[in-house]
Amino acid sequence: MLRSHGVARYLTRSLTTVTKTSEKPLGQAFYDDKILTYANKPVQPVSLHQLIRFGQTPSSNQSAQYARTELPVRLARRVRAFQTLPFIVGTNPYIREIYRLYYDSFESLEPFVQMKQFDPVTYADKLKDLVERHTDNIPTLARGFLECKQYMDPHDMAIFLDEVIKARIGIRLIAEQCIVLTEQDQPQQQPRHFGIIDTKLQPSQLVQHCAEFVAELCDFNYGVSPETIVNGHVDTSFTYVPVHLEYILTELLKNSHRATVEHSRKQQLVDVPPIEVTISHSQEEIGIRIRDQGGGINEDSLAKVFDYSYTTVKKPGEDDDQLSIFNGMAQMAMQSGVGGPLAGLGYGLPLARMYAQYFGGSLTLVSMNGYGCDTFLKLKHIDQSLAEGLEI
Amino acid sequence: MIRVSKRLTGGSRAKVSEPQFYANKAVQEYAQFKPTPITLRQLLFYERHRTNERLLKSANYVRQELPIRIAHRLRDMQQLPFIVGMNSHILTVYQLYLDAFERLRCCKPIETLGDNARFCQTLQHSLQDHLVVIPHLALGMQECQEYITIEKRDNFMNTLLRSRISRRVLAEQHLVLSGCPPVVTSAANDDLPESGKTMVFQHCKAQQILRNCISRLEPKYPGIKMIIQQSCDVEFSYVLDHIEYILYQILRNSLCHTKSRHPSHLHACPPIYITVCANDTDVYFRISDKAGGIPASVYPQLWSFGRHGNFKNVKTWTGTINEQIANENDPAAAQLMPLGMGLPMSKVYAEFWGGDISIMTLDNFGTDAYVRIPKLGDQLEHLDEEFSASDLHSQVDSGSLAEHRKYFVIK
Repeated sequence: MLRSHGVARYLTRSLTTVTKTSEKPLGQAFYDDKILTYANKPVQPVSLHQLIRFGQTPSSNQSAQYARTELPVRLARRVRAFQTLPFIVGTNPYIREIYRLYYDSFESLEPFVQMKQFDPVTYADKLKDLVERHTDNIPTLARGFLECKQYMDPHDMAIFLDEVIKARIGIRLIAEQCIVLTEQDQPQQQPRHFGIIDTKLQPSQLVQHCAEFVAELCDFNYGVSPETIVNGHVDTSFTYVPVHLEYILTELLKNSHRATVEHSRKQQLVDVPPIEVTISHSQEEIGIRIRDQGGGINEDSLAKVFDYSYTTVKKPGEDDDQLSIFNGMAQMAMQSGVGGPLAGLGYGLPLARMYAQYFGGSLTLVSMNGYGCDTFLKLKHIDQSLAEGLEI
Repeated sequence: MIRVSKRLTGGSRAKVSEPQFYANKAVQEYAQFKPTPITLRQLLFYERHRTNERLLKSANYVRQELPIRIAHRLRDMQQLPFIVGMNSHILTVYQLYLDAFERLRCCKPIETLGDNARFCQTLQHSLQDHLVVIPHLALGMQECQEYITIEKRDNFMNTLLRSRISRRVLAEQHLVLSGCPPVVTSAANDDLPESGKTMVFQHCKAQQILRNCISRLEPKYPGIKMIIQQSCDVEFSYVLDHIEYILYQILRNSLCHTKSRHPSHLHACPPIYITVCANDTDVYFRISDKAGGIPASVYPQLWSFGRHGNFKNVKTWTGTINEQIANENDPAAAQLMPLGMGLPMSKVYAEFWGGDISIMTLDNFGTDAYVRIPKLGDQLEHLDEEFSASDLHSQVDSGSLAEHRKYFVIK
């Protein structure tokens, strides 16, 4: 399910979000005990193995059956989490927007739980609509929390964001799996894809793809871009959720590209040093090492690099370089993410790490300050034996 | 009532007996003092500006400091589980330490050069006698595997070794200041300043150290190229032995594993790439190999001591590469390799002056080792205990950084 990434698409995407929620008065929530009822139900995690199995017999609609009881519980929990934020934070328009969105989503899915004439196709359509509406959650929340910096303890904020992002990944996984499977007619003969899971995902191909995209943005923004060399076990393939890996790789490559170009400018180098991506495949995991000569990160910054809202990106107004009218937009595009314009809000790395860790992987940065960074992305195989234990 | 210890002289060894409970008063007293950590820069200053007055000052600093540090280690050993402490190897080490403590504690204040000369002799004896500590300790710890968790054991060893380095460096440096030959440290002859004095800390040229290690290893692993991909002319002051040891260990590991991964195609082995870079405050060495990586089952124990534990026939251990190369060349000793001390010891050496070692691996492909060494010598000794600034600091160098370095790896 790779989306095409035209540069133009990013440049024309506006930053202002359209209100997508109903105008129900906030106060009504206090008397609404449906949320409490659902939020207090236990979460029924599903293993990745099971999700794959849903995909093996899509006609049985197991995926939809699971989703219709599970999603309201998870959504209700998110609503509860928002309700526990400090009052002043909850009144911030961006945060309130997302709160309303979760509330509305819960309300629209809750009727399906007990529905006698349950039609998976209608349900899947509903899910599709909701998935689309929730696309910009993270950037919107980011804006909101940026504005609420002085009202909330950063530690509490980090916990809240960790939870909401983790939950979001899970909810979207369940929803998207359901959508794709419902659209599929029959099980394929030797299926490569089980819904949104690809069993023959080639990391090297994905790296090339993301590198091309990022290099284009980089060219647009800086006029030059480093070459990306891919080596190691290039022919390897494994089972994973392509969108997740795509997101992580794009974020990491963006950081490397930006750092490399800016550093080589400062050093007044003639040639921009290349970025080397090495892929390894072992029994336990896939390793992807991204090595750049972008000047590294100093220790103080390194300690904060996984903090939300920590960014080294200058705001557009601060830059001296005003060569073209496209500069501002191109800059924002450069700093934007696959999931929407992030505009250097400092969520790239924490999100990437969350995705990496979601299925038991890890993201480690080694910085040689003054020279460059090596980033190690390790992802566990989601094969039959391992997936049993991994719960979403 | 304090038990009078027998002096360790030449060949005779005091009988290893159980520690006395009521004889602990002196140890307790000294253990109450905090050690006074020092920065490399301060030591260097003393080394480069020698006067008699400073010599005596240094002598008294060492005289007071060593017993304090030893007392802390004795107390650590006293806290080990009883059964561990009763192991004969651990007891031997305990006895050695106790004797050294008593000896140094009873030294009178040093007021003349003659006093100093006698003090130096005491130091030399201790340094020589204590070369057996590490083999005994490693064996002892290995024998006590059942009685102590790996974590506790590694913590204990790390603290002990760090303290040991600190004491030996202090002692050796004082010997050098006094014009006596150091016992172990290769006070380099190729770096003699104009006055012809030898030094414990030297101007280390990153490129030169690397080339030295490479040239020593090349003959053993012909066909595997070690390519310095990127380098710079960085110089820093360090104990040459320590930095050489670290680089030698890592390179040797890379070579050894590259060879075993491609046994039949020695001349088609993937090369090892080395990068050296520096910024204002640090030097970085990165050694990348394609030797197959480290499996997840081994990786967590990389830094544990004595994994292989072939210390049975090893009598003394200095922790220098001269000794290691001598062992490798001697067929009898070579059979005892590997000792499983290379990496943990490298970590102790690196972290001691505020540096760092990190090893990242791509399983089934290769490994990257990163060594960071502070350049400015303004890091305090990493003694792992609470410390406070001392008078010595303010006299010599009021600009020292009293913090320990933050990490350069984050996950």
